[in-house]
Amino acid sequence: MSETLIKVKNLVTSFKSSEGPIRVLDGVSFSIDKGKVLGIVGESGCGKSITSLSIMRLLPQPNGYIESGEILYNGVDLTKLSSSEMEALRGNDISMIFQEPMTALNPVFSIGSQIGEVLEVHKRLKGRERREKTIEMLKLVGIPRPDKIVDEYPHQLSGGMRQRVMIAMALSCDPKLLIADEPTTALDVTIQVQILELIKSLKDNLNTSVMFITHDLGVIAEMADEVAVMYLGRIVEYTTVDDIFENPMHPYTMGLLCARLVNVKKCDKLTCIPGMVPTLNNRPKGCAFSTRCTKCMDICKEEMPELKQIKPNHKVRCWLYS
Amino acid sequence: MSVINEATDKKAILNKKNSSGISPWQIAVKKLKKNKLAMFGLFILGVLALAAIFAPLITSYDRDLINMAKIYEAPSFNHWLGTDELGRDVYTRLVYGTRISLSVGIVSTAVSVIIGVILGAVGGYLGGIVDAIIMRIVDIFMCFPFYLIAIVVAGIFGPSLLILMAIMGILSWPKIARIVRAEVLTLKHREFVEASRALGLNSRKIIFKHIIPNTMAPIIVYATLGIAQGILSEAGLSYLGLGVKQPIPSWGNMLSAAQNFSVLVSQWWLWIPPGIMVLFTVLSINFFGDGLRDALDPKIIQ
Repeated sequence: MSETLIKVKNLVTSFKSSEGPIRVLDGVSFSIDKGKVLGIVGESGCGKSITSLSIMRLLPQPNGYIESGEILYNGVDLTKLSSSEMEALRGNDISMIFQEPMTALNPVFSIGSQIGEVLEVHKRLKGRERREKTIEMLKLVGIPRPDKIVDEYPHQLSGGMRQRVMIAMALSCDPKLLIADEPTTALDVTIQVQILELIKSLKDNLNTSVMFITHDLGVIAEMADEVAVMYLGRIVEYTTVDDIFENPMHPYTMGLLCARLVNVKKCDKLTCIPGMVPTLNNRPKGCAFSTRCTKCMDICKEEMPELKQIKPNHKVRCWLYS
Repeated sequence: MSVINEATDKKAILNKKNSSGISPWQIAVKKLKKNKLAMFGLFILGVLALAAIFAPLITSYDRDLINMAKIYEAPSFNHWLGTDELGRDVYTRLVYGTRISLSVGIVSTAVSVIIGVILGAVGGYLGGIVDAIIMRIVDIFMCFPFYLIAIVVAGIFGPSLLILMAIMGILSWPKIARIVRAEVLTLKHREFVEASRALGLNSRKIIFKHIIPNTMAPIIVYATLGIAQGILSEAGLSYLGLGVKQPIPSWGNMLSAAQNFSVLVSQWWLWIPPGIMVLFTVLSINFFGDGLRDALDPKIIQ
C-alpha cells in the first residue's frame, strides 16, 4: 500500500474582478500517492493550470486567491504556510516545469549559473561542489557534453534542450512532487516523446510523484496512473488511466475521447464537442456541461450533480448515474 | 592585407570553438567593435581618462602656481595654451579640469543610477502601494526645475564639489527610475521570473539576480548619456559660479573667464580650449552611447 503524498480537499480558488469575485476552481479534490502520476486533462480555461498554481501558491497577484479548502502535503496544510516557509518548499519539495521552455530561462545567465542558483538556495552548495552537481544533473536529463553546455546560454540551445535544462533545474533538489504544466506542448512531436520518456524514467528512478497537466490524451495514456478530467473549474471524472480509455462515463470525457485524431477514418470528419466552454462569469445553472451535452436531461439544467463514487476508483459528476 | 584578414578570421573561428558559451554581452561587444563612430568616441574618452589619471605626468607646471609677471600671455612654446589672469598655465589647468569634469559626471550619474535602479525595480516588481508611493515621489522630483533647485542648494551650502555631485545625482534619478520600472513591469510577467519563484527564490533574489541584470542594457545606455549631461550641468553651474570653486579648475569655471568682454575679444585661449573640451567630450560620450544602444538592442540588425 503506497502512502499519500499530497491531498487536495475542496479547493476553491477565486479571482477578484470588477464584477465581484469569480470562482475559477470550485471544490477540487484529489490526491497523489508517492511515486504515482496524476494526469489532469481538460480544455483551455478549465482550471488545470490554476490548480497547479494554487498548490504552488503562485496565483497571479494581486487578483488570485485561495478562498477555502486544504492542500495537505505530507500532512501540512500548504494554504496556511507563511510566504517564507513556502519559498523554502518551492523548488525543494515541490517543483514545477513550465509550458514554454523558450522563455522560462533567464537569457542573460549561463545554464550552469541558473541550475547552480537553485542548488545554492536550497542545498547551500558552493564552488566546485555546486558545479559538479550541476553537471551531474545535466547528465541525468540526457544532455550531451554537459561540461560544455553548463557554460552556454539559453539562446544557444534548442527548445527540447531547454526543456531538459528546465527539468534538470526542477529536479536538482530531489523534489517529492513534480508539477509538469503542459511540458511538451511547445515541442516537436519527436522531442515530445523523448521528454516524456525522460520524465517517466526519472520518476521511476527517484520515486517522485508527478502531477501532469495536459490536453493531450495520448500523453495521458503514456504517462499517468490516474486521471482527473476537469471542466469549468470542477473535476467531472476521476479514475484510473485504464478506465478512462476503456470505460469513460461522463459525456464530456466521451466527447474528448471521440475528438481524437485516432478515431478519424479515411474521408471522415473529425467529431467534436459542439459549442464552447461557457465563460466563468456566465456559468449555466445546473450542470456546467449541460449546454453542450448530447445526453442532457431536464434535471441537468436545474441542479449541479455531485462527484459520486460509481465504482471502486471511479468517480463521476453526472446525473446519468444516479 | 587579405592575408592578415584571413589569419584573424581563422583565429576568430578557433576562439569560437574553444569558448563554448557566448553570452549576450559578448555579442554586444562584437557589434560595438564594428561601429566606427562609437569606437572613435571610446578612444577619445580613453585618452581623456588617461590624461585625467596621469595629469601630473603630462603637465610641467603646478596647477595653482600664480605668476603675476606673466598674466594674459598668448600661447607660446613655454605655455602651450598661454596663461590666465593670474599667470597660471592654461594647459595645465585644462588637464586638471578633465579630472574634475569627468569625475563630477561619473559620480553624479552613479548616484542617480543607484537610487533610480533600486527604487524603479522595487516599485515595478512589488507594485501596489509601494509602487504608487515611489512613483509619486518620482513625479514630485520631476516637477523640480533642475537649475533653480541646484542654484538654491548651492547658494545655501556654498559651492563645493561634493554638493554639486550630490545635487545632480539626487535630481536626476527619477528618469532612470521610470525607465527601469517600465522594463521591470514587462519582465516580471516573463516565464523565467515565474520559474524562479516556482524554484523557491525570494523577491530580493529575483529582483537583484534575475530582473536587474535583464534591465542592464537601457541602464548602461542611460548612464553613458547621463555622464554627458552631468558634464554639461557641471559646466553650466560652474559658469554661474555655483559649481566648482576656484582655485580648483573645471571646464565650467574656466569658461566663466569669458564673461569679461575684453577676454572674449582678445584672450581667446582662455575660453576656446575648455569649450572645445566640453564639446568633444560630450560628443564622444554621445557617439559611444548611441553605439552602445545599437549594440545592446537585439531588435536592431546591422
